[in-house]
Amino acid sequence: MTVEHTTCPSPAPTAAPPSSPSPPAPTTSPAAPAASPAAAAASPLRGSPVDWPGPPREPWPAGVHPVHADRDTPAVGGTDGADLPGTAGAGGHATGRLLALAAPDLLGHHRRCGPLPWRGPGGYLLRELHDAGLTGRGGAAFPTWRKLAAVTEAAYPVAGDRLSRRRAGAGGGTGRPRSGGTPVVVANAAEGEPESVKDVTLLAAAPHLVLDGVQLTAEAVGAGDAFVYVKAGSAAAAVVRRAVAERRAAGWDRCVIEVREAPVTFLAGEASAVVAALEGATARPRAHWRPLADTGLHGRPTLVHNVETLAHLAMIARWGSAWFRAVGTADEPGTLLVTVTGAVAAPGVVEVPYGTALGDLVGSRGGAVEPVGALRIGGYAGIWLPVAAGPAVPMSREGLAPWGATPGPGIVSVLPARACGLAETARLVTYLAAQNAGQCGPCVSGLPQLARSVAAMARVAGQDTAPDGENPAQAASRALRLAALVSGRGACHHPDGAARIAHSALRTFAADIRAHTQGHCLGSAHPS
Amino acid sequence: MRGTPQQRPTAPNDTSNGRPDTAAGGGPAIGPARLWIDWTACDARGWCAELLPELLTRDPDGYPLDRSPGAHATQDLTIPAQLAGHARRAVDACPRLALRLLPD
Ligand code: SF4
Ligand code: SF4
Repeated sequence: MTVEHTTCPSPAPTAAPPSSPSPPAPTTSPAAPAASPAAAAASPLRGSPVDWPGPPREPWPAGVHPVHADRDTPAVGGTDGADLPGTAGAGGHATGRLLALAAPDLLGHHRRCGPLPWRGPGGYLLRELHDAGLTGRGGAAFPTWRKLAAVTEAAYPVAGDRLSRRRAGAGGGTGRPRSGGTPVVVANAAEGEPESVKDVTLLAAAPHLVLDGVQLTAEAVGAGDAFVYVKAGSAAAAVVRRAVAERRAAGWDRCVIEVREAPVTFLAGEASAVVAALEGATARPRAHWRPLADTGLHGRPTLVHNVETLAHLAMIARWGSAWFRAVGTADEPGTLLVTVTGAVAAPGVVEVPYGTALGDLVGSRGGAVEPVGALRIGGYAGIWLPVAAGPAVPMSREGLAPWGATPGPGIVSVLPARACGLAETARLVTYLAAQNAGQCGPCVSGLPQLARSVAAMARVAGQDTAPDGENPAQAASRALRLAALVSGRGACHHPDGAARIAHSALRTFAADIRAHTQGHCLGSAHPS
Repeated sequence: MRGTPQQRPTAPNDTSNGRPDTAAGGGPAIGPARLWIDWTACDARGWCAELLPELLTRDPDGYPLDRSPGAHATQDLTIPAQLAGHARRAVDACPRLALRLLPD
């Protein structure tokens, strides 16, 4: 290790290659596809300020990335995928892509990943992200390139561009920019989901990969400021502060990064709450009818990305979209970090390709320690998956769609068979109701009512008496009505999430509701 | 594009909303539009439901509620073109300035 240090150039501004506007002669990289003319022709990014470079796209030139030259890590687009980082499949911490390359210090990061592959503005990165099909890892799975394009376009509207003219017209018809100021990039590691630890785990393990993503994004959209917004008191907060100082000392960054701490509340990580917190206000969602990409922090176009998204972005910038697509499914390429929690042998974070079977996912954390009653996908505001769905259900939007679920922020919770799913749901909805930001009438009034109904559903007739005399079946139908009533009626999606988990409990635990109504509980651990 | 009272944007709301950057207003609602509700501002006075009874009713607490069944999945209410005038009146009448008409 120490011997190798001497051969490794210390990270310094000069270590970064000049951003190369025109790709050098293509290096031979057998599996990498040649330029995709379709992507170039039907470029969705016409709104970016600088025109596309003329020549069709080539794989990243090998010379730019020392990682290709001096180490075990792969050539672009690799051969059979076996030697690519992260293709070892669902293993522990060390086998993923992001986590395999994790290095907490800048020197180690530089050795593993090479310098920052600056691409300059003008859409190189956006096109690569578009081809890679990277989506946001914070839960909404929005295409990352679209967010970058929207911010770029908001900050630098192109004269004659139809979309910006239409929007600018709506803004007074003067054709002036819709928004003020240079864009802002925010790396979001607030991680409000109580069960999720993947963001702070990633940030603590690979802070420089995330910060590289921040820098590359900042460059691509021409951002003036960047923030890392990290859960207060987490180990990641200390690590990322140290990492930012290290980079500043080394002159590694072009855009100044500021670290801010997020309060530990469920909603602190909601994008508009992040903006509010960075402005010094309370971290709660804001009603905004224009997207944050148009007007966010102090009215500036603002990109709020999950830290995992940014880490993937930093890898795509280095190794290209073909490499990224080597794992995962065609529609959902790449890997995702998943927090596996509940009745498993070794709760924790695992990185898996999209489409990995839930059984393998749970198995990678040691497997379930007792008979499984149900799985919950997507955290407190997720979906209950009946155990009858089987361990073969893939962890992907496509695979979970028949169950009405999505991978969400990457959480799989295992509920043991002896636990009562209704009691567990009551706990979740009560928590969510208490975490509402106290701003919107239907949410403030509806969520506590919903929580009471779900709690009444969780009571066992005859054993506990509901204060309002409802039996669990009546409570269930009231919960159904209330869930429909709160959905979509708030400044943020918090009520939708509470409605979603309550609704899925009604479906998944229908037999339990019947049993409760008849005076017994199917889960023997029911707290009575 | 603008000028007639029918097509006037909901400009009065803009500055009084305290959001000078939102000078975009709803834009002239010529075609179908969306009604956006600022749920943090609305205090359930119910004027909008009275002015737009075709589309809005009130929930038990008095907050505006989309009439169309199963419509709560999205936050914005779709306004057909023939109701745009009524919708604009509701926007202007809301005492909390909580409504905004956006182009679809
Ligand atoms: S919908 Fe609920 S949680 Fe979201 S801002 Fe409104 S009151 Fe707060
Ligand atoms: S008129 Fe305004 S304040 Fe009154 S219920 Fe409608 S939106 Fe809410």
